Amino acid sequence: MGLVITSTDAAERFRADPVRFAGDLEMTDVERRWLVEMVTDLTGLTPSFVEKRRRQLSNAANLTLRFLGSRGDRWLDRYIEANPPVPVVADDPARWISWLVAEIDAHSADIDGVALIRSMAQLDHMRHRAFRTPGPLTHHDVGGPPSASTPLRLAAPTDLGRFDYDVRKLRDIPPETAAQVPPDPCYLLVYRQPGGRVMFERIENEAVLDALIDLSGQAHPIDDLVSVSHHPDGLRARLTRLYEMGALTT
Amino acid sequence: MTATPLIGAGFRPELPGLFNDPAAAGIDVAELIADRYFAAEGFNRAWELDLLREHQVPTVIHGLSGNAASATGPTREYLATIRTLADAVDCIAYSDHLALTGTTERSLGHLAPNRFDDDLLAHVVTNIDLMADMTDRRPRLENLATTIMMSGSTYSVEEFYLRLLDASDRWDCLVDVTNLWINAQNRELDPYAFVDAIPPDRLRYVHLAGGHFMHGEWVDSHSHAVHDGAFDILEHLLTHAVPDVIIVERDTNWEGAEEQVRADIARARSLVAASPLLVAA
Repeated sequence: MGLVITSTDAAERFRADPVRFAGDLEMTDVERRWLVEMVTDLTGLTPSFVEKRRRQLSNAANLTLRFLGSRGDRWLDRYIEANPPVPVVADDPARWISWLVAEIDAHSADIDGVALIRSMAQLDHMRHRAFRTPGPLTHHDVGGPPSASTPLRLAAPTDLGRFDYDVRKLRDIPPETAAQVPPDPCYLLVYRQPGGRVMFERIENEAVLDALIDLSGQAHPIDDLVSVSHHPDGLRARLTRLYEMGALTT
Repeated sequence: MTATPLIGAGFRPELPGLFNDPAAAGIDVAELIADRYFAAEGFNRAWELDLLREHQVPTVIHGLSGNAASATGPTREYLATIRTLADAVDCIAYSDHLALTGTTERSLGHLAPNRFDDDLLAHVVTNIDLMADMTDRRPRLENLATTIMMSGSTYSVEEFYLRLLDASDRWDCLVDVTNLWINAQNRELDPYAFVDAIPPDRLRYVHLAGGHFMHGEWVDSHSHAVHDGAFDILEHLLTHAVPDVIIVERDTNWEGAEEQVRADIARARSLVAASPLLVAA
């Protein structure tokens, strides 16, 4: 039942020849007879079930799909057919975005503006990850700036990614212009604010970038990080602000 | 003494005007879609749970994948996760649907009817035992909105629901009056007779929502203000039973949604105030 309700292809094969379709499934004769009896009812459910999943997956990769156009729609259909839906804990959208990235890489020679589209997929992936990274049921209470000796690290949802383009600025450009956009290599910090909003911030200052790379490896007190900087006050202020925004944690 | 129902709405971040200051918005209780918060460790959207806790809003949790109306039944993992969430938020009630939500090989991601017959009834009784034991709570099960009656069924979805009340006394009813109203528009059903057939002490929880008309039938889309016809059923229900909780659900079409949900809550509250069962008490 699950197969024909969640797969358009299976529903079509079932509708075309219910007895043959049921004959290929591992079930008892009684179950097989019941299944055949329900062919119209079950295949009547399929469009709405597939559409609901399609909508959810499409939202998770909406930036990438906008640039891929009809090719993205076809890939989404192919993913839905090839990958059965899974319980919510298994995170179907994350699996789908990884699958999509692999498809983009596999077809990179045929895709105009593939480098930019690959960056958009990276953004979709990091955005999803930042939103979905679970946390404990305790209020993130930032009680003022961290002390100079408190070890800080990147918060679990925070990620620092190197991008070929500053994709924050390119989300709304016409997809057909993707191939003409010049590269703009940058680092983007993706983090989740205490209220759940996912933020993207370009990191251009070398000292801040070095500090964040250090903090992604292990925790360090702010004082240790600023001690080697030429502008310790500026670096301290920036790290304190990122802590208050939820990007860093103790 | 009969207690006045708590009246509130399904928690949605798209309705900040309701949940950032629940008391001012007339929210007594918030319903959490349980599956949104599930994670292998900790909780997704933990900030939403924090917000409700900060405002001391009582919560009810509402599962989407309990798979109660199936031969496969709910998985122990799913119910353990429900229990973890229910304990963490100290919910006042746990609910799910009398629906098929998965088979052995795949999760459906949606609520489906099943072949409603006595074989399934026996499975559902076992499923409810497992739900109650694993969650340490008495599940409240919701009636489905559906136009489909699976071929081979010996009961309609409503007949099966009522039969289950006799077959198992380990669950209570979450009556979605909008689903009743929609089903009554789309096919033959007397929603008032259905409500009257439920023992008052088993009718503990009510859902209200607004759907829309599409392709010749009403759809339970949770996208509009609650229908007058659904309020008529609620008014009747309140002459028969007093539920603990009444929830207005809204899942889409956010423009103006807060005002509509507020108005629906106020209208439900006025019907509760006029309930002869509460006036008499």
